[in-house]
Amino acid sequence: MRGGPVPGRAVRAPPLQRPASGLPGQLPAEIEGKLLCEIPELSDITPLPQLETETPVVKILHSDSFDDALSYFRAIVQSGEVSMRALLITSYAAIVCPSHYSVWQYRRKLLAQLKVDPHREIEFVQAILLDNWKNYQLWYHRQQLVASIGGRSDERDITDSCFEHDAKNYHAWSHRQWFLRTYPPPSWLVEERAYCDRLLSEDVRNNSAWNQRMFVLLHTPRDHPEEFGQILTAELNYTLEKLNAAPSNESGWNYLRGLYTKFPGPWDAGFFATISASCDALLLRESQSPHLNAFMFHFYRDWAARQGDVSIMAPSVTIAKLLRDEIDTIRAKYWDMMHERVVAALAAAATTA
Amino acid sequence: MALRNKALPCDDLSSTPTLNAQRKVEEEILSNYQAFLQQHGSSAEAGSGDGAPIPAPTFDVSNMKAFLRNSMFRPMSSAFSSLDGSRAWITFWCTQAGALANITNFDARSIMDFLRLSQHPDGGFGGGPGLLAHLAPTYAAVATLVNLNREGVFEDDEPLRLIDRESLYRWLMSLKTPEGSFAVHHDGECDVRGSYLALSVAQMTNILTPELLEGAVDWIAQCQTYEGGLAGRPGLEAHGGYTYCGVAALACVGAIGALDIDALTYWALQRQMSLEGGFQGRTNKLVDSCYSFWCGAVLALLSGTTRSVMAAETSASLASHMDPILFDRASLLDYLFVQCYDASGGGFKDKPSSRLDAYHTCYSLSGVSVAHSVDDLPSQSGLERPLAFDPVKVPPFLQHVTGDGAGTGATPFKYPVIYRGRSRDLALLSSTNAIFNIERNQCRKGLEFFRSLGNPMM
Ligand SMILES: [Zn+2]
Repeated sequence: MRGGPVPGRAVRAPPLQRPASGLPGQLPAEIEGKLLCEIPELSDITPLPQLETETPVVKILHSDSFDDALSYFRAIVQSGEVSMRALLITSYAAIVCPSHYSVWQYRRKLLAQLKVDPHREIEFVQAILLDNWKNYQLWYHRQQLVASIGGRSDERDITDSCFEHDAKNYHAWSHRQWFLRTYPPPSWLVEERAYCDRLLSEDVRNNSAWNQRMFVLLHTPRDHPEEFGQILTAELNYTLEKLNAAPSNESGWNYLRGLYTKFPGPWDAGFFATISASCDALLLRESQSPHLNAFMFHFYRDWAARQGDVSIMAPSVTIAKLLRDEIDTIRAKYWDMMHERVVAALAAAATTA
Repeated sequence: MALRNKALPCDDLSSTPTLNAQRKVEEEILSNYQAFLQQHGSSAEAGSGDGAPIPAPTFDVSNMKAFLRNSMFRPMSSAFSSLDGSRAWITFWCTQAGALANITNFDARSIMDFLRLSQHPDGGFGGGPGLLAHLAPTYAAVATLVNLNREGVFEDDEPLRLIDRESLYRWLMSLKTPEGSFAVHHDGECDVRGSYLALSVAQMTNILTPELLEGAVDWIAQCQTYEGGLAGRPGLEAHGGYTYCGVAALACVGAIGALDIDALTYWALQRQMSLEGGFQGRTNKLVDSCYSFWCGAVLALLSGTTRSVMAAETSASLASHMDPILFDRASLLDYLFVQCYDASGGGFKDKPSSRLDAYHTCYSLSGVSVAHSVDDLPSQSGLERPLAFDPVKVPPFLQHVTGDGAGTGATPFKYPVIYRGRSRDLALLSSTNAIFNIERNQCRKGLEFFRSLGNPMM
């Protein structure tokens, strides 16, 4: 089940519709189910077969409809034809092979020169996207279309639909970030944080959602330090709460470390106190947690560097040994190296003092 | 394990999609390891970290040659139609896997002819004959041609001479964006793959110029996230494949020092799974054999820097005795050989429940090579940009990047495997150059050949 509603936005994107039949560039004739070579309006085009070497290498035995569409596509690329029927040919080619970057590139040329309504094209690409969520070409094509209408399409909707199936889809997150950066809707920062919260309430280990929270933070204006400090403190408490419920969740620990490394400020002292108190409390029940201990190791070391006070990292010596010898042995070489580095830093500081 | 290390605990009692998927994979992996131990009469208990000796896995490459050859020369069914724009990639996966497994007697001339036909008249290579030029098949074509250029097969470096460097350079320049990234093709998406593919091809073929590199290093550095790894673009999530692209792109121009090395090192190490032994690609995702290379090579590329930081902060003696490739080599090899290798099919799978394929065979073997290597990449804690443009000599940091240590006096990492009933050292494989992912000797020959031609753009 989905979590609570996102303020200011519909709880859920309207279900995506596959467009009614009809392809951009469709000819008056009924073409449903026909091959291109059966369409009279194309009879003057000589299809170009795939060029192959004498001994074919990585040859693919395509279906008839694939060969048909691509042969006509090659023919119009060669002649440089710009027409509605050329657009129809790219529709066929895009449907049989949505990953064909050459097809989409030529199609964009046609769309621009023929001044095709981008809204109609958005519907077309959406229909293909619904079955091909992991495809660089489709998302890029959609991005170009949305840009051509000045971002007047809330692209959060289509990515919401994608995340219903795959909440970590890299292409969709990339598209969403592009949209939010380029055409930021009013109050998107608040809405986006709420959306991430919803995703995390469904799966607290969804690292993409944590990363998106960081994206929101990185785009939050910092001209009022007090306000920003409040937002950061809320993030800190949120993260500690999530970690308390699931201390083995690496995403949360990475985020916590990111919070204090990416945003130094007047709140530093308070952060240090809050984090160390929380970790000490958690340690009482999770003393053997590799995640908690690894976090604490880096935490003391990071703060020693931040404060210019090497002695702060003293507890890291024992923690590194515990990780190396008992609880995180697959990274034993790393912990051994870090142990030596911390010991050396402490010794050097002692000599200077 | 998993054979050698204890699994990390999952404290959560709740069931979330991530946790359910992870537990399912863990159960399967654990039972495979347990079966492997029983089969070899071992007293070790999988997942216990009890330190009992682990038997050598079987690695029989007898069927690999047929698998790689069929992948290139037997026509594929229409189920593979979606790969129509990626055919040059398939020649790379197969020839690189072959080069590492010492299987090289393919019909190299036909492969070369296919790539020649895929070269675009305006520069670069398309995924197949007649296609628009794209950076991925361009890298694949160049790397394949470098791998194929063997004496006794070709004369006068014929495969390398077919690359039209001047049009390639003009095309690469036309893909540059004002932000410092590269589009993967004209009117195509820009991400850190583009940076790696463009810079590595330019460096290999000796057409790198300050103009081509301008802004690229800074843009790649912006892709490093709060987690320490790199994302496809600034703001996105850290990811093993993109991290490799960014780090290797910087390594090939001597600029790894532009990144936060400590954060990157720990992030890459965190991707190695305690129970499985293999790497995952992102935090809280599943293990997958291709990340053996993507993440493993990142750690190999950092090895020289790791050692020099150790020397600077502790002592020369500690630094010289450490293993600067910090991941658990044996556990990674356990995962690849016990869980992913399909001896009857002659290739690797991404995880035990999957089917083998050429892509995972290539990147598993490349990962094996990295896990087995002993050479350091020279330290790049400072920027070494001027060196990147030497038009005559191969920059030193491009050369000895992972190998069997021949001539360096280093002791190769020992990991015995059973091949045709006999225990042998993994040295039955060749090594890869971790920056270009091309077999090491072929890579050096390619770099030297293009230096001998000079840089036509400088
Ligand atoms: Zn994979």
